[in-house]
Amino acid sequence: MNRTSLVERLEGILGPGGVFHRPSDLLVYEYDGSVDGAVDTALPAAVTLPTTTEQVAAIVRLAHEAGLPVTARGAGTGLSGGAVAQQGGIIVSLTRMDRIVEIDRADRTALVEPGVINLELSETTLPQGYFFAPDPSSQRACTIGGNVAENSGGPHCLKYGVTTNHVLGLEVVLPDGRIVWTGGHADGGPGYDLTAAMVGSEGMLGIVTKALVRLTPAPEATLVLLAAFGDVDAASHATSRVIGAGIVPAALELMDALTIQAVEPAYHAGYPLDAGAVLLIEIDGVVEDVRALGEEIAAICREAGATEVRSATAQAERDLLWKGRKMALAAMGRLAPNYYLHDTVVPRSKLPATLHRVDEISRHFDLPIANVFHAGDGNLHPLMLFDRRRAGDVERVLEASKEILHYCVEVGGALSGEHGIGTEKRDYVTLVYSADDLAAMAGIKNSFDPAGCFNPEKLFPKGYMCGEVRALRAQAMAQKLGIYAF
Amino acid sequence: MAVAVEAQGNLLRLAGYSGHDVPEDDLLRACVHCGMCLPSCPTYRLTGQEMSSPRGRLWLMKSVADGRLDLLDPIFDEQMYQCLNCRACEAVCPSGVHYGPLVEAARSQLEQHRPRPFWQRAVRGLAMGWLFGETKRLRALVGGLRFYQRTRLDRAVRRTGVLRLLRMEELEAMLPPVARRALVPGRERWTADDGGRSVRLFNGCVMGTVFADTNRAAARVVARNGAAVDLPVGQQCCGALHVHAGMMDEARTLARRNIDAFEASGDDPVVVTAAGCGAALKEYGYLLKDDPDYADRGARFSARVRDVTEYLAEGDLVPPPRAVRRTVTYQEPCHLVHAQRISTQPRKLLRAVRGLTLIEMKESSLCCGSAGVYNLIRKEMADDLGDRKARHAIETTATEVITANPGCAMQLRASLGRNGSTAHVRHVVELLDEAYGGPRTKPAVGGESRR
Amino acid sequence: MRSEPDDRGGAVGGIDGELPASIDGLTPSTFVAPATAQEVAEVLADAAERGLAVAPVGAGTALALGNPPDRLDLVLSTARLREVIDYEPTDLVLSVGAGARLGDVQTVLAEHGQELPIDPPRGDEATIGGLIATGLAGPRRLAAGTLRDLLIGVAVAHPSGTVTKAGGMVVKNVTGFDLPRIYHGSLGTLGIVVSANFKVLPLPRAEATVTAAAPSWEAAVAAAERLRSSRLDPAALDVMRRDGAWSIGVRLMGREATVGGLADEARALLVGETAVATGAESAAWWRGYTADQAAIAQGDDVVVRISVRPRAVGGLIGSLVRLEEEQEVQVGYLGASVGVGSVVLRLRLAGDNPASRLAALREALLTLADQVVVLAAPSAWKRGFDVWGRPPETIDVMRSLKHQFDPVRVLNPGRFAGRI
Ligand SMILES: Cc1cc2nc3c(=O)[nH]c(=O)nc-3n(C[C@H](O)[C@H](O)[C@H](O)COP(=O)(O)OP(=O)(O)OC[C@H]3O[C@@H](n4cnc5c(N)ncnc54)[C@H](O)[C@@H]3O)c2cc1C
Ligand code: SF4
Ligand code: SF4
Repeated sequence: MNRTSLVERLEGILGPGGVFHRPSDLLVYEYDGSVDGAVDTALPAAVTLPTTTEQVAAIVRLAHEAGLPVTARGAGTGLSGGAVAQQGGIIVSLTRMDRIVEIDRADRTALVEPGVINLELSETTLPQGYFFAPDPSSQRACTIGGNVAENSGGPHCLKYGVTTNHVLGLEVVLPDGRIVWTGGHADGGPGYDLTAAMVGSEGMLGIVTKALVRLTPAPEATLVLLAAFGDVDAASHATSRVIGAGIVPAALELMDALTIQAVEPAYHAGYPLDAGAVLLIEIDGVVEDVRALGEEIAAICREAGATEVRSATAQAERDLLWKGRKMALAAMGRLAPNYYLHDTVVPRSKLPATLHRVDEISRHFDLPIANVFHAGDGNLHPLMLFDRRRAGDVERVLEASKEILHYCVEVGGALSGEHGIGTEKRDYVTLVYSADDLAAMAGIKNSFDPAGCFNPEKLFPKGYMCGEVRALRAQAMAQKLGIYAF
Repeated sequence: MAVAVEAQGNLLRLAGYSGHDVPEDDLLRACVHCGMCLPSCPTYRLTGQEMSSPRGRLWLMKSVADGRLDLLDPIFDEQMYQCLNCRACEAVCPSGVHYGPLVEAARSQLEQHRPRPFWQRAVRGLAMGWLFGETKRLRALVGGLRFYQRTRLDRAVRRTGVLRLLRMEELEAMLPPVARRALVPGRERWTADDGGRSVRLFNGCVMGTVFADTNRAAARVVARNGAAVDLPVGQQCCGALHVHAGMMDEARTLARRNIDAFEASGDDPVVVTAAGCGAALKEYGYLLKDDPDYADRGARFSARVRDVTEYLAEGDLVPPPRAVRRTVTYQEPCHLVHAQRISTQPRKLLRAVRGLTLIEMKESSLCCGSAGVYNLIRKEMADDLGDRKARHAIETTATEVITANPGCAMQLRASLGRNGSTAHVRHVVELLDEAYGGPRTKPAVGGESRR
Repeated sequence: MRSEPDDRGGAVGGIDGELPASIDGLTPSTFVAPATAQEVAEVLADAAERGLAVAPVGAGTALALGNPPDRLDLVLSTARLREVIDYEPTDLVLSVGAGARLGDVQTVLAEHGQELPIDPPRGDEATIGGLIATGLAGPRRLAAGTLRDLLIGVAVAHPSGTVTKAGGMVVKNVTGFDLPRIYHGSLGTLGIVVSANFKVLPLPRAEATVTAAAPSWEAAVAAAERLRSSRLDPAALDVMRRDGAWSIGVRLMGREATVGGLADEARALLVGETAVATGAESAAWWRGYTADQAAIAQGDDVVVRISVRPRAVGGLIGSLVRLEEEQEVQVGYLGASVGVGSVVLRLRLAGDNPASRLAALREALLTLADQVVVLAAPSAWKRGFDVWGRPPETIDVMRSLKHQFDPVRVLNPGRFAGRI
């Protein structure tokens, strides 16, 4: 199949308005939200914008027949290069599949197409008393499909869990073009948990065309506490004390001085500019509990050295306190032309030591690093500030991030808590997983996508999936024994 | 089985930016392509395609700068002009990307380098340069329009179907009844109830003619709140339409004339009733930054500019005596909410009116599709946006849709009509004026009383 | 390191609990209890090489679950892998060997005021590995989810002779595919979980259970709906019929000062006589109520789990009551988790030819609900159908998954869905 007939056939499926193929039209599909320098851009051969599951399936079948790579794309806010078509091929952009198909209050579920924007789902259901709990900071832009693919988290995941805890079932177009459902309204379905396999699979196992997600009842009462501390140590210490007291807040976020300085002038959220660190703690539940726990937490924070503790219950005040936090990442553009961040997770008890190490790395490489992160679950976001036009800056950033990753893994942490591996961190995967561990992952990949056409060059280290298709050594053994039986 | 796909991106001979008004590199690079602006962009919402998003457009601009995309590639032209320049992206961008000046510079580049058919150039020159270049000419034309409406000629003409032929039907549907008399600077003044403050009213081209009565209402309300109002002579169209069309030279000429006209009145606030004009006037400093004679004067002028709602909401509003028992909804003009970040002030004023019920519509800050002359040149997209807006407005059951910009008013009028709504469209100050008793209870000095 | 050869030959000292003589009538020739993860892997590799079938066994509390195995040569007990590998109370994470019993784990956690918020039927005796493999859960899943939601990492031994890990010891982790959750509920057919890491939670400070008798199933379901849509946010909410009588139970958790008030509110939403149990008594009530839901075949008991979307539970219960009369089954026990949508029946089949009557009952149930699993039944009766219900449309993906992980079908051959 040559390019012309590929385009013709795609247009046959989607109509001319649903396919882009001129080189200049493809330019804007060469990036996602990830940082320049950390992820290479790449041009697809064609971009498709389907509106139905059947169209997605037809595109995938065509790609399957032609042996072309397929990369799904949501809003393109991903931070690990997931939606970049590293080997070209066809991009399936799901932005036109953005209908909320059904909201079922009795079941507390919503059936949505993948292009529905995270926040807009919650905005639609909140008047009825429900919300979609995963709340990545990018929630005003990112799609449910992207959330499912990255198993996204957010501040409120401390109490409510990440995306996988809220997905009941998925309609999926498999790499061979079949349309199937995994999971569903009733649980206890037979066989392996393929929904679990799909969530967090970074578009490598199939394209999600519908998601059945859980809706969470809005809590009766919500309280946000802002506690200011002299330094980051004191704030992390307070975090451990709160958790140690047997309290699970809805969210527990930490911002350091540099972050406060970026955010406060931009959003006037009311963070004290002279604080070394602030904690943002949200509690929710029944009115009686919230009030009492709020007092308890405030007392703990004061004991732990908080210089100021304020609380907000009114929606507008809470929103303002949160706005600063949610916008923090992107507001870094105000401190430096470029930023790069990591997304490592360390055991909560290792937070103070990790932050010290990050500080050392910052000084060693002469790179300002701001910290704003999900302290409650140890999910760090060290943000390195730089100017890519300054010679050597990019290299220093990449060196520094390598050191940070190494340290976090050393203390028992993970490479990524929410942003995924993608192409960005794939060469670091061997820090945490052995060849055998990866072989097990390859087993999953092979059983869904034996041809390896779905979102190639992601997750597995460079060169890993090419050539002979790897799997557990068992496969080699099976061949030795000549057994293929079921 | 791999498909042979020809190598891409090897475009020969690429034209980059040159001449004046080159999109500034620093502004361009401020975009970290995070995508947070996408859902706020009306054209992205309608199309779902990346090139129709702010991020995509910035990437295209960057690609031209980097020599990866030809300035004259059709996609560039298409996208720079498909953009409504509503600045919604700018208002939400966490990195503070100044989108407006960038797209305006990009359009200016196209204007400078793009070959246009002769007739297009002629029409643009005539409309933008000749007509809007001198307020007197526009006043004359609008006078004719009023004649057309008053003599019921409109009905006759409509019957002939000639409008449809000339594709002017939509334009006609948008036009409100034209004010009886244009407001001419120097001819009318309003004295304050008390206090010695004074403000200068910026008249504008469309506001001063078609919507002259809205300007009068604004003047009465301001006077009611303690400031004398007059209109400096010599003022012109603000040039916003020209800036949006990339006709920067024409815009600068108008800007200089306006600065000259208003400088005589010292540091008094310059009050504007059209959000689009206000946004442009507030950016004179930037527009003229490379003009050694006018850079500072432009910045000083810009600092004086206040939207009328902004000005009124700054102080304590004199409580309007009359109750207005009505349900209204408020449509935020892009150039008020996004470009000037004025959003709470108009609502505060509306809430000051006793008896008024304000019901917020969905997506009140999404562009209505007016965007200067956009609704005339890109009808389909504009209609989609207009319909969406009308549906949201109708949902609120309001009998009046309140806004603060002439372009929006016209677009809303047409969209509501098309969607079967009889709701009226009014400016915030018209409603306030009504609550203060309107023209009759407070006879003004000067022109208005000479009526 | 290899386990001692004689370890393979028979019972090994130091293992408590009963060793299964057989699984669904098949008797293993060999029994092993490896002491390390590596040993487990070596046993599996050895079995793979020799073409033996292995059934992993924990405490044996759910051996009735699954289709009768195609083959059975070797039973592998995880009982010796039962240490707490790592526990950081301040981090709220725990790593524990697969052979550890849930009850023992909860005791360790309780010393630090923490718990795994799960309550599978007869779960205290069950091992962690067994709970992961079966995926069985109790009423608390309504608010707290299942073990799947708490699982953050695993180490697994494979027939390839390797031990792999996935996930880690942090509560949030998207490094690679979510293998831990794929192993959850896979009945040990992809590999043997040798240890697992969990997110743990603080123990609720106080709890109370309110129970009430109901005149009919309709009244019970209606009361449950009222409770579910109230502000109470129950930890568990079940409707049940025991000894022919309908009743409802609601479990509330929170601060000491709050729980009493919430219980009063719950009572107000119930009609008729109510009883309240608090603290340990409350927990004990639920242990007692769920015991009959365990996948244990006692005599000729049949245990069936039927799952529907939550809104359909009321209708399902009504249909079951009718079916009971039509099919002449004696449902001794019915427990329904209302907000979850799952109903467990423990029943007896009257008359002759119970095997075909069970098959008929199952067919009838499949017309009422998509998911019908026969959790336990006498072995002989299970041979005519797949106890897991209809195979899903993705069965071929599942088969290839199995093929990737266990190509020679060493692990529990035939026992899982689709007779994988
Ligand atoms: C400022 C900023 C803040 C962020 N904050 C957070 C945060 O707090 N928490 C967090 O978890 N993430 C965060 N992210 C990362 C990102 O927003 C999330 O990963 C998000 O879920 C991506 O959604 P998307 O729609 O943009 O997906 P894309 O970026 O378009 O795609 C992401 C991946 O999903 C795949 N994919 C997309 N749609 C589908 C589908 N329908 N089926 C199968 N695969 C699909 C793609 O192939 C790709 O691999 C942030 C990003 C930014 C820019
Ligand atoms: S314009 Fe701003 S919000 Fe939009 S992508 Fe660029 S940096 Fe992000
Ligand atoms: S100005 Fe408006 S239309 Fe243009 S890119 Fe920004 S949001 Fe979109």
